[in-house]
Amino acid sequence: MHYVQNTDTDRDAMLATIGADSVDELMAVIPPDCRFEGDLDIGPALTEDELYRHLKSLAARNISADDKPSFLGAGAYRHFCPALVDNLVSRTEYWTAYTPYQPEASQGTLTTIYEWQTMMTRLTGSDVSNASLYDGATAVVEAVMMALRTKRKSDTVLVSKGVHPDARGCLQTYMRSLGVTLIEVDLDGGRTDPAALTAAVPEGANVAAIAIQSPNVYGIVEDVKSCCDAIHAADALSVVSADPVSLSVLEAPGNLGADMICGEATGMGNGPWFGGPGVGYLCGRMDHVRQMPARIAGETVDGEGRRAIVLTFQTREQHIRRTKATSNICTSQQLMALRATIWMTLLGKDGFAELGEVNLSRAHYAADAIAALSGYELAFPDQPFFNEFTIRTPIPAADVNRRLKDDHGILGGFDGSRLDPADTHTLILAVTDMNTKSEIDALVSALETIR
Amino acid sequence: MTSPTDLKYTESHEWIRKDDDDVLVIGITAHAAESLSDLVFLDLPEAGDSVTAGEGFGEIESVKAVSDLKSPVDGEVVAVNDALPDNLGAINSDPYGEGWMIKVRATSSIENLMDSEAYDKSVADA
Repeated sequence: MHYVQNTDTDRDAMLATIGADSVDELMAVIPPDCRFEGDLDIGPALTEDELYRHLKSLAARNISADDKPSFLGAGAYRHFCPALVDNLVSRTEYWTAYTPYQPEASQGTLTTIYEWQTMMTRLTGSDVSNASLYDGATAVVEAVMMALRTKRKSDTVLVSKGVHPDARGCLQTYMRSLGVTLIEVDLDGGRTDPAALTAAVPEGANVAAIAIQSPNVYGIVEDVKSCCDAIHAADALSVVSADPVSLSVLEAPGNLGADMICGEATGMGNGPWFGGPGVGYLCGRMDHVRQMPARIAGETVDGEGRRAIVLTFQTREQHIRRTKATSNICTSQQLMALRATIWMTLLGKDGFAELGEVNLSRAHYAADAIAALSGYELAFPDQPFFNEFTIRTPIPAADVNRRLKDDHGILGGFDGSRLDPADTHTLILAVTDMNTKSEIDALVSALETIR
Repeated sequence: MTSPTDLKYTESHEWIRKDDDDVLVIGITAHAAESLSDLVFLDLPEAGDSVTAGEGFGEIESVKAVSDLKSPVDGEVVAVNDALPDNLGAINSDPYGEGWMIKVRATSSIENLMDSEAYDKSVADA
């Protein structure tokens, strides 16, 4: 994109058109106490060469997980991605972030959406998947909104504190605006207690949905079936957020009673990048399909009877009719979903399961070794986990992370105090297929010296 | 197209029939059904719900778009054609009979609604 500076002449011409004498006059509607007075402290202007050197020095301060061992997860996990994914998504046929509206010109992209939906429904044990959503956090919100539309007279939503804080934050934003009561349910020993979900329902409340996440934010695999049973007993719909990569070894939530299954699929063929772009997914039951937001590709035949893929479901999107739209998000993360689709295809059914087993075994190898260290212990030793687990540290977790980085060149885990300020000595570590045995051994040796 | 003369009509293409007990039966006109073409989904209220004149009481979705069903009166829904969502063809084949949608006990008047002549003219002029 080009940067074209406004000249004084340009500014004068624009002010004359608006009918203002000066830029200050234009800004006069902003109350004085909201306005910044004086000069911005941004230093003197740099020449192009100076600026380039400055930016390079800033960029050199980045520490990439490609260069250093990283055990940071908390919702964004690294998994091996074959170079073929980059190659295939770079084909010009796919150079768009948007879903194509003209099926006659877009069979390639539409077919990949159809394949994505097919794979996601099989993985989650559901009837129907949409074409993707912005990210995992908005996917949880959209699942809950779907439940609110389905249960029209509802006024309350519950969410387990095991759900990622980003998703809970998004939920708070949306529910506040809708006037829906949002209740966060405490965990019990790191895990969602199904009885606590039921007990948290206020007297007389009409609950649309209760949302849980498995594996949860502490890495613990929830008892999804018991939670869904409790949710249904409260006459609510069950929303289960799940890392789809974990479904390589865990039972599909749809087979355990989940009504809406959603989450972040960035682990599939994408990466943590710079914290985004993500790719949200949303699957559900055919009963609720009319309330599913965004678009769905479907198979049909063209005028000559040939197999064709079209958008079968877009009447409730904003570009058709805004007031009837099921979501204010009118786009899918097509490029990221395409990467995920190609990634799953390259791994295949067996390769995907094998990837899951590698995650499981390496994470458990790491957990066992760390638990054996003096001063360290597993925070929830009896709880099942996939590729992420929580430890108690002998010194504050923030200090553990700092020393791992400064003294050992290792990127540590997620500081538990960011979930609960009282949890200063809690560290959440992710161990995936991208962490080799030697990296794990290096982490364990480093932790042994940090106490 | 000539609409039944014993009904009242709205600009948003609902028809209204007063039945024996002064309960209003509401559906959409043949013209509306034809314009919407292939219907795929119908969302109706439940008995006991209240409706407000000019506001939506449900939604009808065709392959083209989702449209509001607007209530011509204030009142309470006393019956719903529950068979209709699974038999959307009836809206096209028999809009004034089998295609009825809800029955409402009204608390506002229907006197200012259009008669068939005015409705047919408004459709022709549109």
